[in-house]
Amino acid sequence: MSEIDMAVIKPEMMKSYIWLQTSDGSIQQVEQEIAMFCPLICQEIITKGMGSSKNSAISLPQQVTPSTLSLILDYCRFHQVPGRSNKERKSHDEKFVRMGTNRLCELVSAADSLQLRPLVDLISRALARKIEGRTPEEIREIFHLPDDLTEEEKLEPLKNITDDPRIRLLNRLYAKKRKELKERERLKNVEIEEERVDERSVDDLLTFINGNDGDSKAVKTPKNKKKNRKKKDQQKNPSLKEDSGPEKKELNGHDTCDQSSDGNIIGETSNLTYEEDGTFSPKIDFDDGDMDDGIDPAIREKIDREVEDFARRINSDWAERMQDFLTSGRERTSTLSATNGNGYLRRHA
Amino acid sequence: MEPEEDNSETSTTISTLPDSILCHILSFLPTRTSMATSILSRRWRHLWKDLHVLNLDGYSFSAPELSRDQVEERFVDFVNEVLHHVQVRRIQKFRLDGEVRNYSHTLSFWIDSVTSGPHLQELYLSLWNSSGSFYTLPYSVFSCTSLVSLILKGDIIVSFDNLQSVQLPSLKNLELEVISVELDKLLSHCPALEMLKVFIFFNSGGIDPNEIHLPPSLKRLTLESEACDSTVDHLEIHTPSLEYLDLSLVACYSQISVRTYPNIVEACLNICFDDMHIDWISKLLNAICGAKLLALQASTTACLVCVPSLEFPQFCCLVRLQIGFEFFNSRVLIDLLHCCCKLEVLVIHACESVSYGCLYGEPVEPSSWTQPVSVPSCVVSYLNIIEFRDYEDLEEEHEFIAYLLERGLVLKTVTIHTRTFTDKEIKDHIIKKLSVVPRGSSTCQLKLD
Repeated sequence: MSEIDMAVIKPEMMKSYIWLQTSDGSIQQVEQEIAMFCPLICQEIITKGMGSSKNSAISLPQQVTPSTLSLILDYCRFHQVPGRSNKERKSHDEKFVRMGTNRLCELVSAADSLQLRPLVDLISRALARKIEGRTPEEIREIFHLPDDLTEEEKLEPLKNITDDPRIRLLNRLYAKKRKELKERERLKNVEIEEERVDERSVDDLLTFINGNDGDSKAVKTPKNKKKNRKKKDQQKNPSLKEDSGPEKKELNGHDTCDQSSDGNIIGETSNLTYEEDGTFSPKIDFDDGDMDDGIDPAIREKIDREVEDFARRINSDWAERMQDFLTSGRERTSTLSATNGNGYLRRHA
Repeated sequence: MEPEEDNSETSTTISTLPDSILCHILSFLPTRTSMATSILSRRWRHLWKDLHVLNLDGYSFSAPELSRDQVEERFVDFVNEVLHHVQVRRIQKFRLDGEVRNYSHTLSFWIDSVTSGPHLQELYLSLWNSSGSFYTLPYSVFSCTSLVSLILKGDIIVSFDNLQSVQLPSLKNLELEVISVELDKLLSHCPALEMLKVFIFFNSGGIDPNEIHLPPSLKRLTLESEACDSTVDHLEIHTPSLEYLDLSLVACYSQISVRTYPNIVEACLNICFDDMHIDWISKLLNAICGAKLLALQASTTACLVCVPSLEFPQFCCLVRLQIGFEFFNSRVLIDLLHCCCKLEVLVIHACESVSYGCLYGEPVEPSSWTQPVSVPSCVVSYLNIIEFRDYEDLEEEHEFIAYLLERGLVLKTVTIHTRTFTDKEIKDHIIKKLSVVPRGSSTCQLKLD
């Protein structure tokens, strides 16, 4: 609402009332100050001049029932008072969202239709809290979700469903090239590099991506504490509970990625993601640049250089490294930006 | 099930909500969790892919049986997966916390992909590194024209060479908690900056915040500098729109240049106790005299105590004062109260630690209570809440509280917190002593904790 609008309205705004019509057809009077907190109502009043009488009552979106309107107005009534401290507002909001899940859904839908962003965010957060840390069964129960995925679908939630043969071909080519490159690097840097063996089974790979599976009992994984320079602590939100250790029985039966010695994608699986050597293929529209199936030699060179840099860094001490960085850092960063834009995803050391 | 689950009145369920709202709900979750919702039901299978808010948490991949490298691998694979499925160019908020020391190239690629999108508004990178090496960020971070908020934390070094142009025309919020940063150069390219938070851990030669010029658009400034191994020359805070100031300076700044801040609302000062600072501390206080809320840490107070002739400006809007002491000094406090004519809330921390600058302070002479010549006007008319923490029942402390109890005509609550592990006997004794003091306000409640 602009300053000018406020100035125009002010004389008439001595505790004036606005007429609103809810989804069931009933009409009620509401203090204008409070109703104006909702952008949609505000707009109706200012641009269309509605709401000043019973006949010109603002007809609210159909998601706004009388009971939800009442709640929304309570929210507005509290927050439109300017003098409140942040603590007060937060405390009010915490109590405000203590209601059943369905009511919350109804409320968020109504708030959304009225474009009342702060309330939408508040309720969305509350609903998100109901998802976090729970098993899928619990979530389905809370939200009354139908369990309508097949077992197979549950285990491969990230299968690429475009099924584009071009993508598949490209993936195979990328995988081949990447494997090639990796071999060459490995041979080159065998003394310098540490041995990095990918011991993960396909099941493990699927596990962490799934996050949580069917009936597994959740085990909360401990957090890796970051190095704390200061007294400030970082709160980490627990993720959806997952089974981090042993494989689950259901996964065993659905190996879409066959273990093969040369590491290519086997079969017509359109699963873009898991190849035995653990590398990933990008989606076709992910690349901005050229689509030739070779690997840009500049990138390769840069990768080699970076590996050597890294190895060197490991072997020198801190001060030296620091000095090193400050002088050579400039060249490195400029080459990075020069080759920017190439959509090549690679995991390397 | 929660007790509030009363769904009898409505038939709306989450399934009736449109995709946009469901996706909005997912945006408040860690992305790993959002991804996992794809197995909930058919409706949810692809919902998470429409996310344009990503929260990628590498620490959630750690497990006792995994080595650090393995955790990193999984995290990197995960992020690759996510970026594969979402529409990268539509991402509005991107947050990444983790360690990816083996994958700096991949990290740069992720960042480049995300910053190339025209919608990226918020970028949060928290990159730590247990091996002692550090990250450099691709330049795309500093030339992302749509970026409104940039938060960098961790083992990152931000430096620019002359050939690269820094362009952050939309940036309003900048937060840096990194190893070091060429702050001045960065700030000179953030013309719209409103909030700045900088934590400087140490200065290394070659990167210097010796002269920091702040953009005039700045409204909120938090500057925390732990760098005490160098003397910084000049800190210039010429920001007429400043509303909030939080300075925590352990380094010795020989000169601080301030203007008046007519819009100032709140200030927190933690200026380490050093001769050089005493020179300009009164200038600083003058500049913030319009504040409504003021917090002075013990180090700052020590500076004030050292200069008995220091004239405080009139804090005519001050409503709440929080003041810390290493050793309680009633003189300085009474002097201050004389200058705060509208003070309503007074909070005292009596045993805070002080950070000393390059020169160690001389031992402070113990102070004692002297009856003020006149009663500060705020005590008579405005002061209604007093809180005293780490009360040790020293004579000076007792006299001070007693004075306020007697003269405070509108006091409502006076709360005394003793130091932890204080005997109950001592507490009782304190309460008894204070209870017999005649109170100037009939509504005054005395509480001991």
